[in-house]
Amino acid sequence: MKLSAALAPLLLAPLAAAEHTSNWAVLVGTSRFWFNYRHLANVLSLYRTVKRLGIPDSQIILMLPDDMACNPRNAFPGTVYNNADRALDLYGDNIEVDYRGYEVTVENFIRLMTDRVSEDMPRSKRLMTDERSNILVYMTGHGGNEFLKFQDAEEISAYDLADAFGQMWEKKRYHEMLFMIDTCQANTMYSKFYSPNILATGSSEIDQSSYSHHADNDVGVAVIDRYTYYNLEFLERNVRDPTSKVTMGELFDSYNPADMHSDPGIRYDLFAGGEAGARSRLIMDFFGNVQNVEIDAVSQKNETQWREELEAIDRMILEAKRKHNETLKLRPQAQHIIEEAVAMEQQQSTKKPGAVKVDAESGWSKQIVGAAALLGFASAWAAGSWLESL
Amino acid sequence: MALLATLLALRKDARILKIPPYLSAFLILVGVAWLLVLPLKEYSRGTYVSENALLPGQVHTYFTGSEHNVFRAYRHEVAGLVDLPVQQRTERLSELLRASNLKVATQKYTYTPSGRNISDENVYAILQGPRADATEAIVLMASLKTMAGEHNYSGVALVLALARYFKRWSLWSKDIIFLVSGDSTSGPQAWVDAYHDAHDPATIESLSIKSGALQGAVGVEYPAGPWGHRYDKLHIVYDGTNGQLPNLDLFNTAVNIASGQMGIGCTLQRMWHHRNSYQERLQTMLRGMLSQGLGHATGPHSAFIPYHVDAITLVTVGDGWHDEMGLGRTVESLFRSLNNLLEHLHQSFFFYLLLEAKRFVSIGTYLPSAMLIAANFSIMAIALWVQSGRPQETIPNPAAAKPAPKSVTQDAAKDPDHKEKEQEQEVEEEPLEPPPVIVTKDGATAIIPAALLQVSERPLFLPAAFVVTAHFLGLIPLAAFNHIPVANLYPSFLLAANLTALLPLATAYLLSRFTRPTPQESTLIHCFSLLFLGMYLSALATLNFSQSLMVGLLTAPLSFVRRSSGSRAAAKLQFALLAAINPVMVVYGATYVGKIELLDVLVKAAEGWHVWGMWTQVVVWLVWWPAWFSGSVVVALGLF
Repeated sequence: MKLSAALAPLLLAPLAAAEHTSNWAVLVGTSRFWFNYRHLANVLSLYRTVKRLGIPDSQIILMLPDDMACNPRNAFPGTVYNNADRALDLYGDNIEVDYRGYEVTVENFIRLMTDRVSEDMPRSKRLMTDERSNILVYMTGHGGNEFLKFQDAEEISAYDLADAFGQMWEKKRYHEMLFMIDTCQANTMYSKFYSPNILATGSSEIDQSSYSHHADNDVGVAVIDRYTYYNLEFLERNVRDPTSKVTMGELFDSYNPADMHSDPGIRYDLFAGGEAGARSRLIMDFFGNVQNVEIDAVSQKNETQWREELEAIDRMILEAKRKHNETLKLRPQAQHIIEEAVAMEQQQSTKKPGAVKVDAESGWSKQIVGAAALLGFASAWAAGSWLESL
Repeated sequence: MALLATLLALRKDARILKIPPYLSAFLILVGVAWLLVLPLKEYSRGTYVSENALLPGQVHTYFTGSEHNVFRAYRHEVAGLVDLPVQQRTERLSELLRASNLKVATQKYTYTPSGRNISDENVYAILQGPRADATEAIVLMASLKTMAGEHNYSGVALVLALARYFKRWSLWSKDIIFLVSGDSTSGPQAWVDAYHDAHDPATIESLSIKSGALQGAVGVEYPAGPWGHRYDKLHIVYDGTNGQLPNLDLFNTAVNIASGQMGIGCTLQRMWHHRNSYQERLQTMLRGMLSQGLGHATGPHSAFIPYHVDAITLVTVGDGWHDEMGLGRTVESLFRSLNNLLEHLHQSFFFYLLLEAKRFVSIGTYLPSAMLIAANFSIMAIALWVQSGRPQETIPNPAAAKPAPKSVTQDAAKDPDHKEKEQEQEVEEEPLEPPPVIVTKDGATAIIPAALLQVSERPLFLPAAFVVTAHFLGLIPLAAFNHIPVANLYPSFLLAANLTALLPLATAYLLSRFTRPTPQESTLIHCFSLLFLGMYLSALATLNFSQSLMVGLLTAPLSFVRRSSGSRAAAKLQFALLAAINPVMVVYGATYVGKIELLDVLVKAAEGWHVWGMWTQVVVWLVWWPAWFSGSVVVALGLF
């Protein structure tokens, strides 16, 4: 495992350099219950964004453990909003939930990612990616140090997640992956990843909570988390259409810990090209579904080289003409296919009390108290004996 | 091994029996001191809402504007119907609720405690949650009379107005039951008993319509007449019958919403002006403990708590600038929070002492004080048990080396003190050693005081029979006070007071005629009685902390009284002390100090027994009284 992990970047470097040919998104909310409305709104916000940027429903796996729109407590039945202005109904009239309610479990999530599903699993519930697929994985819910709670019954650990992604890489199930997570202590969730080509970002450091952004006082609950809110804000403002050239670096630079009330983290080291490579990736490489073909005519340097080549060919052709008295047609060379996608992410908030560390100092003071108590008893006894013997 | 042997040898040490009285006294002192430090900031905690689902004060409230006119109209309606005969009043109330498109039903009830006739009629309506599954319900209630006996005009009007207002919301996840009860304690009791099919159908009508499991109940007392009255604060009443308390989250939510969202100050335990000083926190805590220890119903909510339905009552107090709509919005917001609940309130504490609206002490912090006081009895019981098994002669202290008296005879062994005085030796203070016995075993020889080798049998029958009889004797006053008609209650009490004072003397006199019990038997009577008391009180401390503590403190002298063998004066003094803490005298004294009519206390106690299911009398007559009686007889034996 370690060897393959170490060798993988070397062996696969040529592959990594290749472009992706499809985009998938796995959007997971992991909490139930009315007071977790915001987590569902987080996921639906991301769902709406990737659909807006072009990923079709057939390539989005949406996992929603609860149905806020139909909750009897919802003052606005049939809707889910991510803002108190209630301008945008996230539920809309075109939403396709692939895993719902109690189907959202750790097992189902790992089976989905690694494609260990039964033959009769419908296509809508499968992640049918290959080594040329870019995947956006967004998770939100209640979490803690190296775990994320699924509903109220179970949790996925950072190791489970890392192994699932490792297996996906071995099975050639992704080309590049953007992992975003919005939960408390979110950055711990990607700390165990070891498979290549994963760009990971989370909402908060270890021992930090992620917080909700604001509450809607008519719905009566918080409607969105901070990390997701600011990611969305950036995407709404700067990535307006599928031709956007905004890079992941620009998105990451927009993160402001003061706004988020937590320190968002980014992990570059697994990504081919490291930080520079990851930062220069287009957002549309992950959030969009761009396979259109463009001719790269911008670069001056390429053009010179191209002209020289043309001239050389020209000369070859003239030579050939001269030799064979034939006419050949000239062709332009080198078309570059550029695909763009945008990556999104999320966060999450909850506070977990940590274990209390017993430091040497308080240990000593306790021992002193204990010794003093013992001494006290002994002296009380001695005094008793003495009084008795009088 | 050596350590073990030393420890085992300590059992024989005469000094071991001298420790328990000091230890007991120490435990009582620590228990009381423990209680006194609780109101300090270091030992109490700020309240917090631990149930995530509640989200108190996170919603806008809309019970305002034209709803105010609706409320005023209802208030005039209520003012017009309070004095009508029950039948007409019920019809009118039903009509008003039915006009809001609610299902309405009524319930007649009759209770006859102490020969009184408490009968009235409850009216209630069910709002079925438009999108709910009818498995859960919350209750909003107001009684026609407040706990203080005033007409609850505005409280009832507010329930009617909110019923009409809530009906127009679609977001209820639970059914809401609006209850207008005939009186403030027995009405809700009859209703909640019938709701859980725990009523007597002969006297209490069964409910014709019901909803799901009750998740919470809120009572409103706002005795402002038809022209309104602006109040200063909300008094949140939370004590349930038998000292059971609602989940602290419910209280916290109410405080959070009233003070945080609506800006209405909250107060508790009749502390109208709480400046948050140590004295006031202590006073609040002690008032709360008194209320809990008495175990009586304190409002319409009290009946719900024994059914594990968390409930509180909001009472308006003082003259201020808050109006009825503020109270209405508080209730609205509180119901939106309760509506958010996913499961029964369970996150926060059920056992707590409140020091002020936002400060409390939890069970882990306060319980040791009552437990220490209960433990003092157990320790003394064990000490008395050990003492009863010791030979009557003094055993020399084996650990203290001292010169043996020069002339020790067989006579001296039988009556060392007497002999000692006769001989006027210099070693007067020191007990004389009885003749040693030489024991040889496995080749080893030991010299042991003969007294140590005596086997002293404990005669158990008489002490056990006496203590058990004393406990059964308590059943007589328990039954009597719960069944005697009102007219005879006061004379019965006087009779009980006289009998109780004389009974120990009479018993002791009678027993001494038969030269029983022996000193050893009276020690065992004392031992068993304290053993029972210690066990009862430590068990009670986990159920009703305050009651256990109160009884524990009032019976504390029982640990220290002894059958005096010598001086009559000591016996008389002890008996006088015990006569002063006679349970009947304590009740009488408490009513005198509290300026309460004794008859009211007796009537309420009987009502509590028959209607509320109150257990306080059981503790008084079957725990406290037998312990006091046994202790008094033991002391009185010294008089004869």
